[in-house]
Amino acid sequence: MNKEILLVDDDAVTNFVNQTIMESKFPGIPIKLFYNGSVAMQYILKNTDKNFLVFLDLNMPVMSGWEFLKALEGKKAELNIEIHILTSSIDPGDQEHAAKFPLVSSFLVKPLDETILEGILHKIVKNKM
Amino acid sequence: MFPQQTNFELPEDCIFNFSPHPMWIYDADTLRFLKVNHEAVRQYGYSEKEFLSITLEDIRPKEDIHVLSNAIKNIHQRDEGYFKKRLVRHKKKDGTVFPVHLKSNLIPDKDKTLELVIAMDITELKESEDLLILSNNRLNRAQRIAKLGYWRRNLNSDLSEWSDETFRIYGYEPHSFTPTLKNVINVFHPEDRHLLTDDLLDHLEPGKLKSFEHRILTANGSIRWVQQEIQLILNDIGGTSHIEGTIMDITERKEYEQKLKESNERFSLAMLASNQKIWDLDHGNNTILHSKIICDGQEQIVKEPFTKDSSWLGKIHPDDIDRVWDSFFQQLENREMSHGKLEYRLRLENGTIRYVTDTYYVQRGAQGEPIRTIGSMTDVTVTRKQLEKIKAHNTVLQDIAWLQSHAIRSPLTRIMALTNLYRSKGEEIMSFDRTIQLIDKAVAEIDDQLHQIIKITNTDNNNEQGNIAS
Repeated sequence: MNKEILLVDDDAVTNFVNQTIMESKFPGIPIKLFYNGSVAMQYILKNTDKNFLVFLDLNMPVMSGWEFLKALEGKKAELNIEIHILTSSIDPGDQEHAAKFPLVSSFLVKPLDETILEGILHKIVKNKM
Repeated sequence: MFPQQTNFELPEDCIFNFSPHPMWIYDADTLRFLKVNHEAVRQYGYSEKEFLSITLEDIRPKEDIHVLSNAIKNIHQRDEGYFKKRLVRHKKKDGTVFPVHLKSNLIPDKDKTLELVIAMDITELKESEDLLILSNNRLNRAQRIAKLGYWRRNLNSDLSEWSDETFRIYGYEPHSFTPTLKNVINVFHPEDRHLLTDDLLDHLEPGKLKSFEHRILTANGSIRWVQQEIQLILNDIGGTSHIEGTIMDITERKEYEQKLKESNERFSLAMLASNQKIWDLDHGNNTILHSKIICDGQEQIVKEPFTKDSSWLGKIHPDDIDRVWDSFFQQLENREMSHGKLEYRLRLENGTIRYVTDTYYVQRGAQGEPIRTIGSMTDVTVTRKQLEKIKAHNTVLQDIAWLQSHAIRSPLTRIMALTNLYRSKGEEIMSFDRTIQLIDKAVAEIDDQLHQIIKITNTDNNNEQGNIAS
């Protein structure tokens, strides 16, 4: 099955750094970058045959992370997707709110911790996502 | 068989025969009647002949015979020529027993012991006396129950007469206190003694009751409150004779009045402090009574028809009046409802708007119909404004929290990511100069956001100071 990592964040530097870390840890897994939730969602819905691992920022222009999650809420059955929120927010309220979305697997606070990233990617590789 | 009593033949016009009271002469040795008058025959029911055949014992109840025996035994100790008075019981021929007042006198005789007796039937007098005693006892009991005493003093005397209850009110036994003017002054409370030291006649008009309330010091040293009703009595020729009065222990009533006064004062102060207005709606008359405590602590009461244009409801904000009116009557229609609450605005005469909360209790009849509604309206304008301020503060705090959590932390996490990258990869991925350039940019972003927070905080402070000033 095709597997892809999607980095959805309006911060270009953060996307670049995270992409660099991921490529060095697990070369060969395609990584795509999106700068708002709307374009990411369109891509996902056009490629329902793919298996996505999404690192999602919350505060973005056009479509925020929350709006992205709400838009995909009713489509869980059609998609092969695992979403990890990756945000600069340290507000406990955001963490509690994120837990209400079934598509969300974890709530990660920037900067991305390489040890946590390795755990997530190992699991994906092992399960042959 | 009986001795002839010829020596007692009396003239027909003798007073013995015309006395309005029974009279007789008897022999103290045999107790036999020797002579009886017409009134004795009439009242006792015996004929003259029958009288002369019986003895004194026959006109006495059996149980009183010993009284007669004792009297006869001591008959010689009586002084001659002096009528002795005794109260005894006699019995008529038909058996009726009645009280008699006897007066008797020994008649000098060389052979016999003779005595002249006048017997006065005092049945009516005795009944009146018994009734008087009964009435007096009842009066005493009533006075005791009412804690009401009586006293009087002749104006030419230093000594007053006190009833038993008057002594009791002062805490004394009648034998242990002499109510001279000096002693009475001493049992008045020091602050009330002027009532006695002033000339009472200056305050009294003949025949008119004058009332005084004052304190007394009782025998055990305690202070009691009494009420005195006093009047000046004139003698037959119009001169002043004496003063008399009643005295009543009103300590419990005074204590109750004091507690009520304190309670009212507390209630008024509480109303003043809480800025409350009390209202009382009578559904039967459709009238509303409302009161409030004004600045000087006085209660202001208004009673008027309960209509939308009344002095009170007319102050309700035009945008709120219909809602308040409809809501109130809807709640009244719910027969299970006893407590209600309304919130609305008042528009005062000077144009200012006040926010109020009205809570009320509904008294209902047997069928659940409203009879009376009592409510309390509280001005919550200050509380409401404070809540609005708190809400505004919360919005500002939320904005600041969002800026700290997202807008500031976003460039900060970028710096952290860049330093992590440089630490692990060196210049393999990104040159040192490019890294520093990106870090500088992120630092500038953080600085911008910090300025933004300071601006928001200052704006909030200025608004608050403006609110306080208004």
